[in-house]
Amino acid sequence: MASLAIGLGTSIIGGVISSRGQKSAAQAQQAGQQEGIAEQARIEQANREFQQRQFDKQIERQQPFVDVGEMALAQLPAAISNRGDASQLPATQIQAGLISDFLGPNAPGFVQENALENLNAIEAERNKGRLSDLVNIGLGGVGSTAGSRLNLGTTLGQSLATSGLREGLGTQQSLQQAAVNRQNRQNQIIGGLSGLPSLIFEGLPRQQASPLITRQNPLGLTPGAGL
Amino acid sequence: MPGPAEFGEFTKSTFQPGSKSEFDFRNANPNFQQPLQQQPVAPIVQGPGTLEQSALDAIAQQEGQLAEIEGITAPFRQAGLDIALPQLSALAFGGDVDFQPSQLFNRQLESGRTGILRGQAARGGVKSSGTFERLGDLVSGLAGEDIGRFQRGQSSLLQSGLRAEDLVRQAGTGFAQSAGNIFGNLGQGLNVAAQQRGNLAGQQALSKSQTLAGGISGLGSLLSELF
Repeated sequence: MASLAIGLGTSIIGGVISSRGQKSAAQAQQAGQQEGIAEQARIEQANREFQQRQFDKQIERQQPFVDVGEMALAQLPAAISNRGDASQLPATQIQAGLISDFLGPNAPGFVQENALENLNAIEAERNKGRLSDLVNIGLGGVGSTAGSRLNLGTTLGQSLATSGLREGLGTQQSLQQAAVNRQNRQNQIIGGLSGLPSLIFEGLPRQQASPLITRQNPLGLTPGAGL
Repeated sequence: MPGPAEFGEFTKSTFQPGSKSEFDFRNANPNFQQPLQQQPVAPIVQGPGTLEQSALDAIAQQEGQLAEIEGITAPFRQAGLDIALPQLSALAFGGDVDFQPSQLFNRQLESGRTGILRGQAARGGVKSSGTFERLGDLVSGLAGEDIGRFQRGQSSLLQSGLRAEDLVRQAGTGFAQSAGNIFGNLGQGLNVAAQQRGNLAGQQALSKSQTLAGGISGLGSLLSELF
């Protein structure tokens, strides 16, 4: 009986230790996976913050050009429709000053008036070109801003996708690993239980100590005697 | 001039090879749950933080280069942004225009005036209104040309600034993409390293339990033999 008890005891203890070892191994693997996923997610988050700042800077640097373009765009339709007043524009006034200074006070009034009217007409047309140029400058800034936003969006999207993919794969791996571990433990228990009969039979002859009881004759029957 | 802070986290003056970036992504995402505690094992990577430090160094190196590019293009950008753009805006919208008549204007005006006066004198009509009309046409035309040259000069300056800005934007985009790759590789590397640590810890736990279970089994066999 002692041998049987020892056999059973050591088998059970060994099984428990082995099972716990497998469980610990599985937990360590799972912890490693979770840590890895968290690490990668943390770095991807840092990447997104970094990219956001980089592209925000780019966008900010374009803003002065965009602002001027928007101002010009607001005035261009009126200028194109010849509803603008060019007389107060700096270019007109500078030229008017040059003309007046050059002609002097002795010039006939109609000469001055004629020169200034021509000047206003010319500057009204020139200012359409100036406004149009500034609109194009603004449009270039808008294009660059759009490019930066597109790049940022692509990068952020890829980063989020990477994090999500890793998290999803990690969860799937964990679930699969857990299933495999459960199966291993079940197999181990089944293996242990199936080994019990042989353990018992192996122990019985030693316990009975009868010369008639052998492995071949476990009930101790006398050959030819019958029951 | 924009200060160093506008050029990003690293500037020429602060960047040192091997230095740690001011952008510390170790604290990037405080919302992530802490990884499971596990038994410390020998790191598979070359040392704690080695991967992160390498990534930081690589990003810092590139950020330093970007700051250099921003530095050498800054005068061109500023000339376009701080000088040409306000002047062109003032010409189009109104405001202070920093214009002085050119020497060419003065020379052409003087020679034109002389020619007109000589011609009118030859015809005997220097003091006629026709003389003033011709002089008016002369100064109007020359003033318009001079303002036009001023405007084209400012436009050229602005184009230089825009080109400089474009160079910085391209460099910044390349840098952001490169940094994104570094972050991506870092995240992947840390993920793999954590998984390897988990696997190693699992193998150690499994090996330990198998050794112990084997020892107990051997002890059981020995005791069974004795009893």
